[in-house]
Amino acid sequence: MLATGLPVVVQSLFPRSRPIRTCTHPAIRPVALALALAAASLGAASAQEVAAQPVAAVDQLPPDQDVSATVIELAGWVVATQDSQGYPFAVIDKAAAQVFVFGGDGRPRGAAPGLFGSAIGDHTAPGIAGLALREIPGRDRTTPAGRFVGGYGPSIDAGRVLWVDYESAVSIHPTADVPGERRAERLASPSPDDNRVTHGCINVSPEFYERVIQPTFERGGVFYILPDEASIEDTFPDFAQSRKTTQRGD
Amino acid sequence: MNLTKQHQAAARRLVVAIVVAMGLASCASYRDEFATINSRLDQLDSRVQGAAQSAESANQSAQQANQRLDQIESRVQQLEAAPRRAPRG
Repeated sequence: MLATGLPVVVQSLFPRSRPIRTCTHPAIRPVALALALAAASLGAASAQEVAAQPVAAVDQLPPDQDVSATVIELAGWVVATQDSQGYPFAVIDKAAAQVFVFGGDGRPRGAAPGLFGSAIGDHTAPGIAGLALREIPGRDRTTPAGRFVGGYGPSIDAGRVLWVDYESAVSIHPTADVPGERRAERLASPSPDDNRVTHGCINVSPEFYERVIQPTFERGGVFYILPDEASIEDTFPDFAQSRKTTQRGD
Repeated sequence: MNLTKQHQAAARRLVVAIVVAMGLASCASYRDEFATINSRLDQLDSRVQGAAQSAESANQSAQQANQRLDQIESRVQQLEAAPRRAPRG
């Protein structure tokens, strides 16, 4: 009974062939009790770690990179209005090539650089989801701006993917190794200027995807993508209205 | 080996196990503490919560926006069952 609830390393000290119940030396009992308590505290620490794991934040942004006021205000508005209805959400700043992930509680879970569509712009070309990658004109290789309800679903060629905007076939996924595009190097460089390279999908580092994106959005979430060219008023009208009111109150 | 020596050997192994267990437990605590030290994300959290308070207290449109029926759950479920398509790389 003593050994069954203990870690393997401790269980190995008690080979099954040895009759533990015959150990009646008085010194053994307090030591065994202490061991059980130690193992229990270890187990409790592990449980806390598992519970805290989603909260353990990851920051992969370059050290000196700042966060724009629009990102802060938009995230604050989402929290204040519960616009994501308790679902996790991400605020994505294409111009700064930054991805910010928040839990359903509105607390940051991670920040990382991202790769985005090679075309500057916010539109979704009609019928783009039905085109092969090579058929997408350069001008239409945009990452669309706006508010998107996303979640996991099947894909044709990449298994189960996290769709940001299923309608336009935009997903967020680990960086793909595309010959000649140096995606990993672009992601690692501190400048956002070289982060426009995809056909519209959002790429993050495999580590960030695995540690932050996947566990956070396993059951879906909301993605807020800031525009390149369109106005905040057109892209997020409710937020823009709220911000005007807030600024008048200052 | 007599019985007393067997007990002494078992006790020694138990003491070693306690030390190992305590060491692992302290490592877990250290990792937890280390995870909380993240100044930029802490600052981000602070600024976002501040912005949330401002937005909440300064306007009523926040309440109006909150009334939007988004049905996020059903949308997410639809994605799981949606026809396969190729993501845009």
